[in-house]
Amino acid sequence: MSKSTISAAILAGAVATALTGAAEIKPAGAADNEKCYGISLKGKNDCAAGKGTSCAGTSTIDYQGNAWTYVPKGTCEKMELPGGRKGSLKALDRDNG
Amino acid sequence: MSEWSKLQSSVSNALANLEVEVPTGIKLLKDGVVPKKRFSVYRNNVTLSLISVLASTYPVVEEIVGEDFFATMAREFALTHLPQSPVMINYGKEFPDFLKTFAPVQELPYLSEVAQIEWHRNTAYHGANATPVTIAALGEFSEEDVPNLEFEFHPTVSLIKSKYPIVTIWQAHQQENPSEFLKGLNMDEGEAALIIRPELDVLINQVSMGTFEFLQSLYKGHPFSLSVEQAIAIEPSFDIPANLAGLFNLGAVTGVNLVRSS
Amino acid sequence: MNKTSTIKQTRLPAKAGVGLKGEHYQDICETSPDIGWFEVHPENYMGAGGAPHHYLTKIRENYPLSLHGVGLSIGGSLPPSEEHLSRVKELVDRYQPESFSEHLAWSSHEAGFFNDLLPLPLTEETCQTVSEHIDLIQETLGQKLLLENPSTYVGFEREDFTEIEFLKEIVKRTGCGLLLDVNNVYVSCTNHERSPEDYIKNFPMEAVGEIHLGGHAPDEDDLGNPLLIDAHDRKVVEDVWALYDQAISQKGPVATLIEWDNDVPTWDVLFSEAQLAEEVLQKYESQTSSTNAPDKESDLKEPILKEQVA
Repeated sequence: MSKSTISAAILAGAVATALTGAAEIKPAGAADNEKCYGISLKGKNDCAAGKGTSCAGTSTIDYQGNAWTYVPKGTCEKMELPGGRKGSLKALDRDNG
Repeated sequence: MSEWSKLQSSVSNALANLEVEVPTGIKLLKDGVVPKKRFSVYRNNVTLSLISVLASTYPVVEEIVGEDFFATMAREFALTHLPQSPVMINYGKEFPDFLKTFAPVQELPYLSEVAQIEWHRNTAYHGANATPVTIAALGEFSEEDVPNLEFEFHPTVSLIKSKYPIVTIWQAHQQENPSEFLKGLNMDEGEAALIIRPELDVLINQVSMGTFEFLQSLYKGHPFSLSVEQAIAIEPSFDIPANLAGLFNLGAVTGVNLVRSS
Repeated sequence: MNKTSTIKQTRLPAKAGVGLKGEHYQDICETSPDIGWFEVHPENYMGAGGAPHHYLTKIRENYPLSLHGVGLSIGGSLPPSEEHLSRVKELVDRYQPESFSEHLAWSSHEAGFFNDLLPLPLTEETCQTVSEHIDLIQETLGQKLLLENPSTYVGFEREDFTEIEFLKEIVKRTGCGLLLDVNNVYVSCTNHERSPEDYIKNFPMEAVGEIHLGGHAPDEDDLGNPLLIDAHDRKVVEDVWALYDQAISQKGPVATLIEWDNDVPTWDVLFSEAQLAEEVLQKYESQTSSTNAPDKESDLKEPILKEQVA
């Protein structure tokens, strides 16, 4: 076992400070959190058919050749990566892959 | 193989394989019309219901790429990762890894790790309950014992680190207007988080890289002294009392044990 | 095998209940609404802890509870997953529900779980496998299973039974009860051009322990004929209320559930939908003699499991 570079006294001192309740608190916990997950999370299993289940087009057309001409159109467009890369994508043609 | 078993195999094959139209054995409509649309109700229900499970577990990923793109991507995942259990709260664990290799999102390298936050959040939400100890638990040990203390963590705790600002990105998507929140974000700045569900709500806590090292070391079962050293090694200003207070305050510790070195 | 334990019968009150949705946990806990009972899918409570169990435990203290499974794949050629069945068993033991029900459908096969209630041909072979699966489930859970009639969109080339004959045969072989989903009757009968009134008329009401009502989405099939989808995303339509009235007039009051799983409305909307069912139940409650009282349900002669005889 390698010799500790930090002394027991320092560690015990830190513990003592923490115990007095005088220490700053890091991570600060709940107060730092923007929004809780929500105790009302919906169940994921159900016994109903989903929305639009009879529209065959929604699940087949995407697969024909040009599937990935779809471009993400969400908040990624606002996130610019270093080196000038855009957060958003250019269209990819699946057939070229 | 029984007749029903054979038929069932051909139906399940048709459900997950879009090139198969309607399996034989399904009754034709009047004048021999193949009930494509009728059968597609089942096929679409399978894919759409799985997409919807993924969307409810990964709402931030969905916002980042947009609803349409997400649906297409999630469908690709679902058809290649059919659930192996009927418990949908456990479905989609491999989705963050899938994002890492899925060609169309390779220019969004942060996406997989944002997804990882969301997966940990899901598992924390459903994770086991436990009773945390207060910081007073530390007061029971003598000075010489303190370096050798090991911490037991709440079962819902998980830790994540990224070279991208994934916690800020996640937080931005809890706001009314994520784009406003993301303005001027330095995408080159890494971030780390401690995820925990002490009571009913999941907390996503951004932590410094030093704190992350400290927690990860403790979490692996290393003693207090070694964990502090690892934190200080990458963050010289690491504040020990503040981190202890914060950790116990969150309810993240369920036990403190002395491990006697021989 | 020498089983001494008896199979628990369905004990839901002959009142209106609703499917318990996470969205309504807080409303229910804060207002303690006057509603007969709640139903949940056990699969949504298969996490170790947290909010789902917290709220279900609270709500269960004050209301009768029904577990309505969606994952046992009773209609599949393979037996229900042992692992899943033991998870269900754990919840049955923990929450002691007044009812346990599942579907005449399948959802798992070799490739995995399809997360949908898929159709099976009603043949001598499937009658045998479904019966075996129900025997196994009832033995394992120590609780009577109510089997639900499905919504279907396709038929099979070869079938030996009508749906009602098939359900009757299953009841005879296993001693299970039935969950009559009136919306499913309407959906399936419309989709296959049958009379829903005749279906209800011929249904073995003596085996019914629970009724479901829900909304469906209208569409068209390949020939332009009506195709109804069991979407549970809206109010119950007039035609289904009329069939429900017919069913209760035949059966007498029985536990009735409003299912609303997609586009879940506010608690008030769901509650008032349940009140409509409650009105029908009360109408027949006052018309029927006490011989139809719900507590008589358990006096019905129930076949017991073969093993129990040993």
